[in-house]
Formats: sequence, C-alpha cells, structure tokens
Amino acid sequence: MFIQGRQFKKTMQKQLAAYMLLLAGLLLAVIFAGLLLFGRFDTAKQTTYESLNFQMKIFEKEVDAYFNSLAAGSLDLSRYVTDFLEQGQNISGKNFESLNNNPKKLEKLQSALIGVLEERLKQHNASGIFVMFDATVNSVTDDAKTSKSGLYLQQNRFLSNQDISLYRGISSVGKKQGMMPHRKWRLEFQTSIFPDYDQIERNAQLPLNESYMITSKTVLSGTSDTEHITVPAAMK
Amino acid sequence: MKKIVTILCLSLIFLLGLTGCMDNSKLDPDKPVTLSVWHIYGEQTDSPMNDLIDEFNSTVGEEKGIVLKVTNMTTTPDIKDQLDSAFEGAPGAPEMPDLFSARPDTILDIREENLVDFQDYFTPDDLEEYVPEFVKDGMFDDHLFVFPVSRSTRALFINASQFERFSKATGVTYQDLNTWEGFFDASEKYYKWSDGQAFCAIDYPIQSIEYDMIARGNVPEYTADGWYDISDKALKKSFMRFAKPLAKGHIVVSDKYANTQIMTGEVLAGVGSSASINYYNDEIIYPNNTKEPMNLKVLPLPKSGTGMQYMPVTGTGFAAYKTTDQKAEAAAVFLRWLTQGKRNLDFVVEAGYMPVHNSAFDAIEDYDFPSPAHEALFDAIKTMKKEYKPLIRPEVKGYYDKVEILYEGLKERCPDLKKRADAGEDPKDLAEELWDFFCSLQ
Repeated sequence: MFIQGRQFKKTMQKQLAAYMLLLAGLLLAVIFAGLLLFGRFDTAKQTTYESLNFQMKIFEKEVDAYFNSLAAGSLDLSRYVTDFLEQGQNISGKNFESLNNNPKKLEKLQSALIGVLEERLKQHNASGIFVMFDATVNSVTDDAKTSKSGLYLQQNRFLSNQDISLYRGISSVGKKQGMMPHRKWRLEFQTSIFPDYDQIERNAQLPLNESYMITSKTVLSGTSDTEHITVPAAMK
Repeated sequence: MKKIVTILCLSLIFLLGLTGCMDNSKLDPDKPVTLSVWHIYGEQTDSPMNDLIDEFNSTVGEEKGIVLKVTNMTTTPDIKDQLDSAFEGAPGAPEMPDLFSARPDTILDIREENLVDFQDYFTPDDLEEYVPEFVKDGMFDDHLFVFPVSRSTRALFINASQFERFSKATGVTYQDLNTWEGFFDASEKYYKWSDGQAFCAIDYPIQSIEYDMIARGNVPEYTADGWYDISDKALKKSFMRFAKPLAKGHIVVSDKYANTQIMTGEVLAGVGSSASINYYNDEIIYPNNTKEPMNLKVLPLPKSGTGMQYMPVTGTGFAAYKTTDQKAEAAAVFLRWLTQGKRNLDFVVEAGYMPVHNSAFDAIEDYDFPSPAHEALFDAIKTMKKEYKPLIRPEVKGYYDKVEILYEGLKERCPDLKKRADAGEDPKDLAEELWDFFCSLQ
C-alpha cells in the first residue's frame, strides 16, 4: 500500500510538471509572438536596410524635385530671353542672322543678359547657366558651323567669395560683371558641348515644357566637372 | 625562491619598460577622425591636392583612421577673409576648417592658442630635412604654425606664337627681356607695333618694385600702418621705373591674374606666380574668334641693375585649427605624408610650385615634366635658384589691405593716363600722379 501511494503521488507530480511546462511554453509563445509583432527580433542589418531604403526614397524625391526646379528655371529663362530678343531687340526668325559677324550687337546682347544669368544662377543653386545664340561672331573660321555665340557662367560649388567664372562668352563683358574668364575659357560655344546636339536641334519644338530635356552626364570640356545640362529644346 | 622573485621583478621592469615604447597615438582605425580642409590648389583646375587627398584617404588614412574632406577650394587672396569670418563666427559663415592653406599673414588674426604647433609632432631632426628658409617662414616666435608644403616664385610668361611675329618685325628677342630696362624697351616697341596694346600684365606690381629696390642695394622700410616709408628716395626711384610704362599703357596691372589677359590676346606677356602655370589656356582666342596655340614660354624674372638679384619666394603652407589632440595628430600625419620626397615633387611640379623637402629639390634635375610649359617653368626656376638669392618679404600687418587699394586705384587711373600720354602729355608728370596716389595710401 505504502508503495502504491508513493507511486500515485509521483504520477500526480509528473502530470503537474507537464502542465506547468505546457503553461510556460504557451507563455513563451505569446511573448515571442508579441515580440515578433512589434519587430523586436528584426536584425540590425534589416533595420539598416530599411532605414537606408527610406533615405534613398527621400533622396530620390529631392533629386527629382531639384531637377524639376532646374528645368522650370531653364524654361523660364528661355521664355525670358525669347521675349527679350523678340520684343526688346526685335530679333526673331530669319532676322536672327543679322547677329552673324556682328560683334557689337553680340556684345550688347551679352552685356544685357549677363546680370540676369548671374541672378538666376544664384537663385537656382545650379553649377552653371547658359544662353546660346544661333549666330557666330566670325562665319569664316574653320569651325564656324558649330561655333555659337553666347554666355556660360560657371559656379564654383565650393565656398568662395568670387565664385562665378565666365566659361564661354566675351571676356570684357564678364570682367565688367566681376567674372574672370575660366582657365578653359572660349569666346564661343562648340555645339559638341551638348551630348546629342543634332538630335536636340531636330526635335526642337514648342511647347517647351514638353520638349525640354536633361542631357546624359557629360564632362565640361577642359575641366573635370561632370554636369547634367538642362536644355529647353525649342531654341529657335 | 629568491631567484624566482628576481626573475619576476626583472620581467615586471621589462614589461613596464615596454609600455613606454607602446604607441600612444590618439588615432583609431575603428573610430576614424574627419578633418575638414580648405586649400588653394586648383580652384578651377583638376586639383592635384584633391587627388592626393583621395590617395591618402584610401591608404594611410584608412590604415590609421583619418578621413580628409575638402570643404572649400579658394584662392590665396580670398582665404584670409573667409577664415576670419569663420573664426569670428560671422552670420552665414561656415565652420572653421581643421586644416587650411595659410600664409604667415593669413593667421595673424587667429590667435596662437587656437593653432597647432607642428613642433609637437615633428622633431628637430625631422624638420632638418626641409628647406630651412621655408620652415623659418612658418615660425611665429618659437612655434611652427604654418607647415611648409610648397613655395612659389614669380616668372615671366609669354605667348610665344605672338612673340615670334613681334620679334620678326622689330628684332626684339627673349634675351632683351633679361633686364627690366630691356623689358620696358620691348614693351614700348610692342605698344607701337600692336597699335596701342599693352605688352605685359603684371600681378603684384608693387612687389616687383620692392624687389627692384632691394636688388639696387636698398631696404624698404615700413610704417606702423603697414605701408612703405614714402620719404625713401630709393623707393620713389624704383616706383617711377614702373610707373612711367604703366602711365603710358605699355604695361598694365593684371585684372586679377595675368593669364586671363594673355589667353584673350589682350597682352603678350604676364608676370605672375609660378603656380599660375596650371591656369594658362592651351589657346589664345582673339575677339574675332580666331585662335592659335599658346606655346607658353617661361622666362626668369627680369634683373634689376647689376648687383645681387633676389628671387621672390611666396606661397602657402598648411595651418591646423586646434581642437582635439586626435585631430592635431591626424593633421601632422597627413602633412608628413604629403611632403615626403617624390610625392612632394610630383605634387609641386603638377601644381607649379617649388618643393619644400630637400630630397625633392635635389630630384628636380632628372624629373620627367608633364608638358613643355612645365619644363620651361622649372628651367626658369632653376636659373633663378642659381643666379638669384631666395628672399621672403616680411609680413606687415595691414599691408595687403593697402596693396589691394593700390591695385584697384592703379587700374582705375591708368586707362585715363594712357589716353593723356597718347595725347602728348609728359609721361613723367603722369607717373608723378601715380606716385601721389601711392603716397596717399599711407
């Protein structure tokens, strides 16, 4: 009897232990599920990945917004220059040819526009700004066909007091505005500065907000500066 | 037992001794320190300094835990104002950089307790390996605040394409430009030949005047206001030598740097810093858009009189803003790396400077230069080093502010004086007007 009673007691103890274990297991499962639910078991790698992914999305949006703002600024400048030429200077269409071989007129135009370009460059936090005319100061040079008069102001993206230089344009016009010629300065543009220039010219049409384009990454001639150039395509 | 105790004691002493030899560097590759850098090497060029910084970051920097970050590329005239604004915490000014290009005058307003003394990181033996004059130039009392990295001199740069036509027409040769007398004579001939164009644009003309005065055996005196003692007759004589051709328009004060006036065909030659070599365009482009190759020729500075000639030595070194010991040590590690033998020579040749490390200076003779213009420049430097004595002019507080006013005033006055000279007024009287203006700056 005594032996039987001890065996019965042992069986009860075992059963109790099993229930306790089951209960502990259930509790652990609930805690584990809760932790999973609140993301406590995410790895540091996963958190970093998500955080970087989030940052990348924000950055992408910022870059998009930046390029959209540059494009808008570029279209606005294009309209301003067109109005300035057509209404202010009575230059449009075929009349544009009167600018060819006309250094005085080209200088006058550049002098009138350089201040506007400087102001807009500062406004838009761009690395450079340009206006190119479909005309050249000398139509008998070897490269006259691809040589175009105009202004290209380049901004040193690091801090500096005198941070805008004249990359293309009439040097005396730049100097009067306090801009020294860039060390790779040229008087006029070569159209090859724009990747796929021929295509841009072929596709040029109004309205500007549909035909503008941002070029592929290009290195500015003679410098190590890599740029995306926003081109309002309806240049004529 | 005694033996064991003795051995243990000796071992302990040995270990303690070893701890003295242990590296007590504050640098830690696992926790890299970032130094912001402002420098003047290549504002518009493919900066050789930036390339070196990239190389440093990916080698020694990575190994020791140092990251250099260029946050400003500027010019020597501009950096002082920018630093002063940053130091004073002016509204909108950026933070002070940890490491920055500096001339001795650049740091005059940044008090010495804010600067790293590089003698804490370079022993006297280390410093003996550098050109002594250049080290001395960076010393303030007993502190080495400006560490030498490169030094520049000045030279005569010429558009050889145009000079050959001029030479053919007038008989003027490069040999004639050996002296200032020959140079001024050539500039008069060029003015006539080119129908009224200036022969040469001069950067820092007052320094050419000062070196002319010194070469003729006189020492310029300065006033407490940072200007010249204008009662000095020798000063006036040297000033008038340059003032007459300036008034006649035979030479001009550079708009900013002579290279821009040469590449636009406004002048035939320029006197400027050796470091300007990288700013010379490859072509001359005239107002009608015709072009020709620059073919840059570089000559030593013209000589004054027949006595001892002096070679101007200018240029910047690096100073470090004192914040933490870790940053100070990192700055010293970078500067030691930058100024080591061949690296120093590669850097200065590309940037148009003179090296500062003795071994680099010795290696110039056999160097393979990147372009004929660089080779011509170092030929001119070699000639000057042989025939002229290097001379670093003293830093005088307030001097450069007055010099800026002088240059602006000369640029404003000279075009009108040129017209009056062309109309027949006596150039001596016109030059006197420039002297009066010079004196008014006192």
